[in-house]
This record gives sequence, structure tokens and C-alpha cells, in this order.
Amino acid sequence: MVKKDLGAIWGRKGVRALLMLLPVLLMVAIPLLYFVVISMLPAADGVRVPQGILRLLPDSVSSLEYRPAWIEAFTTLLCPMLFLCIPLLTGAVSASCAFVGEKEEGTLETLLLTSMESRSVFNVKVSCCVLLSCFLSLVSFVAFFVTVTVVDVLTGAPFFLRLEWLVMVFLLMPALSLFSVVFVSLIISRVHSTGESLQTMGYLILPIVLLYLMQFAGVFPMNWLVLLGLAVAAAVAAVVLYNRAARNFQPEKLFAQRQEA
Amino acid sequence: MDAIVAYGLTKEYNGQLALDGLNLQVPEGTAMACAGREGSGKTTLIRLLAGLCRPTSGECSIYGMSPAHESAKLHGAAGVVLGSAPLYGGMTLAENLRFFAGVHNVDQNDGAERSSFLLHQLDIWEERDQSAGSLPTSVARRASLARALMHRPRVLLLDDPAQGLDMETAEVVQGLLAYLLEEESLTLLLCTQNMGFAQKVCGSFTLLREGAMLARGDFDSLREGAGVWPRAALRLAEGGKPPQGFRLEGGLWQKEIRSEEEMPAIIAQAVGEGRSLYEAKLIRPTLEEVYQAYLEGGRRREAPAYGEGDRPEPEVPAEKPAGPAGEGPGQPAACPAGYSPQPGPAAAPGPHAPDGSSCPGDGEAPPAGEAALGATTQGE
Repeated sequence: MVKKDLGAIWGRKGVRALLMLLPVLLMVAIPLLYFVVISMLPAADGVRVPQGILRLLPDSVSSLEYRPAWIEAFTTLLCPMLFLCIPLLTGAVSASCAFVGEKEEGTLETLLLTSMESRSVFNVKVSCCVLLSCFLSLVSFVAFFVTVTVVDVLTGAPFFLRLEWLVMVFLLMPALSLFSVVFVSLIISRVHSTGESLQTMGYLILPIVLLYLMQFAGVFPMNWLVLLGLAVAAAVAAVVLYNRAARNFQPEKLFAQRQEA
Repeated sequence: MDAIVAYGLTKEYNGQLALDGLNLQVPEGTAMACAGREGSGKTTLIRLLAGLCRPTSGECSIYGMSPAHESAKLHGAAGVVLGSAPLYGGMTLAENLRFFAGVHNVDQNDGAERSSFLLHQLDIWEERDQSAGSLPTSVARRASLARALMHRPRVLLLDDPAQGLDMETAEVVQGLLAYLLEEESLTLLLCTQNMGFAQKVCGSFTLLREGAMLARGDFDSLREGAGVWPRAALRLAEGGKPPQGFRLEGGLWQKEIRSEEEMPAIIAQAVGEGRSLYEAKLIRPTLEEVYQAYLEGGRRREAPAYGEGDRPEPEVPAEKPAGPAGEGPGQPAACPAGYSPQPGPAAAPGPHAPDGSSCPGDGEAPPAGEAALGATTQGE
């Protein structure tokens, strides 16, 4: 069943392109573009990164030169936000295919006419989507790791990987993947098409963007403790939503619109 | 033992009745058809029995298993074919059958054997490597049937399997169903508006209209309940005088007869009276005619017969109470649909309307115990 779901997701050209392009764009193309722009910046002697930005970074950054400091600012302040978008987006896309896509095509009904418990069908689909989302997020992190490490070596910037990144990759990312998948599975009975369910990606990304905007505004720094708190909050929310979505994953509720039609 | 049971099964969608207090018992190893026009609640009945929706009131079960609470177990014993439940379009037909066999925990070898058997029987073996999404409707319908039969279910719930099939393909499906009924003791509930297909496949029938049961029973008891009889049809020389009581329909002189045994006498009489008889045949009523007769109140409309002039209006008997609507097969026949003890418009009888007058069949109830399944009716 997992194989079938993964095959179905990967078999859709548009979805496959989206799942492959998103990580490349967010974790390789944007950082590379940024590094190229930074390397082309005119850096006169004594020029410094603005104090407002330096205040958001570790103290060691203030001693860095102009370009390495900007690279450090980018990898510390902006790249985490881009990275956290990946589990949210890939989770939402894969869940849209696995849940809404199947419902749209009618095969979800066929599946619920088998001797598999509807709860098992739900669990398998959630597992499949979370696994795919985590896998793609990890792959994109590895690509990002290679890209930034090369840039760090070339520009003399400090190694980017710190505790915050480890919390993000191993705790926050899986929690967000699960949250994203469960969120889409929760709204399956309300949406009519895959396209409609993909629009929910906006709602999912918005909180992450807001958090990082608050960080830029100096409300709070996104240190490992805040990230750990976020990971716990996302995991708790995901579990709560998971139970609710699993309860609602009943043919009566899933196909209510079709029956009434 | 009844394999499928429903009591007072009612389903409402937004206050609109899709199924209205249906009672149903399908004995193990038999085939019953629920026949009716569009909107008569056939698909709703299958969805309720399959656990895809829950009844507003009443209950149903398959081998004692509740569709609402034991759906997985129930689906292990029942195969369901619904037009809204297709195969995976991205997989080939053979892959689909393998996948569903796996989901039902069918052993891989058994699955391959069963899949080969079903594909051959349904005459879709050649299409096994085609993507299910690209299959023509007639193949896709048979493929869905194969999918539902992969795990050798004891009960098969079929929703209009003959829809979109040509006659030849429908015969293939009919052949497989007959084989399964005979060899695998399958219990079949067929919901269809194709009355001809239902008549060929099933031994008992429940006639539905707008979610309510019109009548139930085997074909003969339904036919008698509706007042629809076989007809003797004669083709005589042009301008030839027909025998008494015959009327011209479709180029043949026809007359209702109570039994097929009357036919030799009719032919002998026609020949004996010196008529130029070119053709004589017995026209058996169809389920479609019986259903139509029930819709119209219990008796087929007929033109005046030769030598009779206008048929006299049947006498309206004194109001008499209706017998209780039958509660199950095997019970004595009750009155046909449309019979109503209340006086009113329905009680004004026409030549074809026994309403308010008596049980059909010229005032006679079908003899009790005449058939294993006596025709039973339920108020509309």
C-alpha cells in the first residue's frame, strides 16, 4: 500500500516536478544566488554589517569581515525559514495526492470497500506522506549542507551547522511534516479537488514566516530553546489533529457530498 | 439462513428520503434483484449495506455483521461493485487485481490463479496489461466485478453491473454470476434498472420506487400480484376473423391466458375453426412489464378485445381491509402496490387499477404457498 501510494504520488508529473524543484529552489538555488550576490558586493575596508542585524547573530559574528558576516547572517537568519518550508510544502503536496487525489478519483472509496480498517488506511497514508516529506527534507538539507559548506570554505565564513540546525533537522522538521500531512487529511471532507487542498499550503507556511519576521523585528531570537519549544508544540498539535482526523476518516463523512449529490 | 437482512432501513439526505423503511431478507446462496428506476434508492441500499453511509433509522447486516461497526470484517465476506468505486487508473488491470488481492490478504498464488480465472471468465484477459485508466467502459465495469470477486466473497453486492454493457458483454457477466451462484454458493444482491438482466440472473425480486418497496417475491408471484399474465399470440391471414377475446397488438392477435397449458387448446381451436393460422406463439411477461404494472397500480393496460367492445369497468367491491404487508419471503402474498383500504382517488378503479377493489388477478389473491417467495408488498 505504501508502495502504491508513493508510486501514485511520484507518478503525477506536476507533483513530481513540484517535489523535486521545491527543495532545489529553496535550499540550493536561492542560497547560491545569495552567495553570488554577496561575493559581488563592493566591500571597502572597515565596512560592517548593520548593527541591527549583528544584534540578532552570535557575538562571534561581529569580528567577521563584511562578506563572511553577511553569509553567516543569511545562513542563520533566513535559511532556517526556507528549510522549514520544505517539510510543510512536501507534506501538504503528498497528502493532497494521497488523500484528496484518491478521493477525487474515487479510488479511496474502492479502498474502503476492502477488508482493511479505515483507520489502517489512514495510518498507512499518513506514514507514507510523512516518510516522503521527511526524506525530501533530509535530501534538501544534505544539498544545502554541501552548498553552504563549500561557500563557507571559499569565503572563510564559520561552519554554519550549530545546535539550532540539529534541533530543526531532527525534531522540528519531522514534527512539521506530520503536522502538515495531518492538517491536509483533516480537511479532506471539505475540499473538492487536489488544487483546492494545495491552497492550504499558504496557511501552513504563514506561521513560520511570521515567526521569522518577529525574529527580524527583534521580538525574540530563534535559538535552540525556542526551536525546541516549537518542535514540541508542533508535535503536540500534530498528535491532537491526528486523532481528530483519524476519527473523521469515515466513509460517511468522506463521501457525504457525493452521496447527497 | 439469511445472508443479508435489513429492517426498516431508512436513509435521508438533507431531509429527502432516499430509502424509506425497506425490509429485506436474502437467504444464503440465492440471488435477489432490487429493481427500480433512477432515484429509487438502489445505490443507497448498496452503500448502506457496504458501510459507506449509515442509515437514518433501521438496521441492516450481512451474516450478522453490522456495516457501520464491522465494516472491515464485512468487506472480507462481501464484495461490492459500485459505479463510483473504480480501479487505480495508474496501474494495469492485472496490477490492480494483485493489489486488491494483497489488501484482502489473499495468498499470492491463489491471487494469480483467481485473477486468471476471473479475467478469462469475464473475457478481459487480453486487456490485463492495459492501464485501468484507459480501459473502455465495458471492460472497466467487468474489471470492477473481477476486483470485487478476488477474495472469493460469500456475498456480492452489485450496483447496476450491466450499465454501459452491450448485450454480449452482459451475457458474459451473467454467465459468471450464474457460475458463482452454482459453484461457490454466492449470495447475490443485484441492484439494477436493467430489468431484463435482473430477470436472467436472479430468482427473487424487490421492486423499488422512490426509495419505497413496491413489491417483493419471485417472478411468478410478482406477475400474478400485478395481474400480468402470459399471452397467446396468433398471426392470422390478413382480414381473417380472430377468435373471441383476442385483440390486435403489434400485428398479432393476442389474448391473456392464465396458464401456458391453455396454448395447445387455443391453437387447436383456431385451426379447428378453419382460420388461416400462420404463426402462434406464447408471449411470457417480462419483469419490466410487471414493474410497470405495479407502477400503474397493479394491472397491465389493455386495449378492448375483439368481440367484446369496450371492456366493462370492473365492479367496485365494498371497501375491505388490506392484508398486512408481508414481512418476509415465504409469507402469503398480500395485495399489490397501489392497493389501499382507504377510499380516495386511488380507490376509483379503472380497467387496470385494482386499487381499492381487491387483490389483483381478477379479485383473487395469489394462492398461498404457491411459490417459495410469495409476492409481498409494502405501502408506498
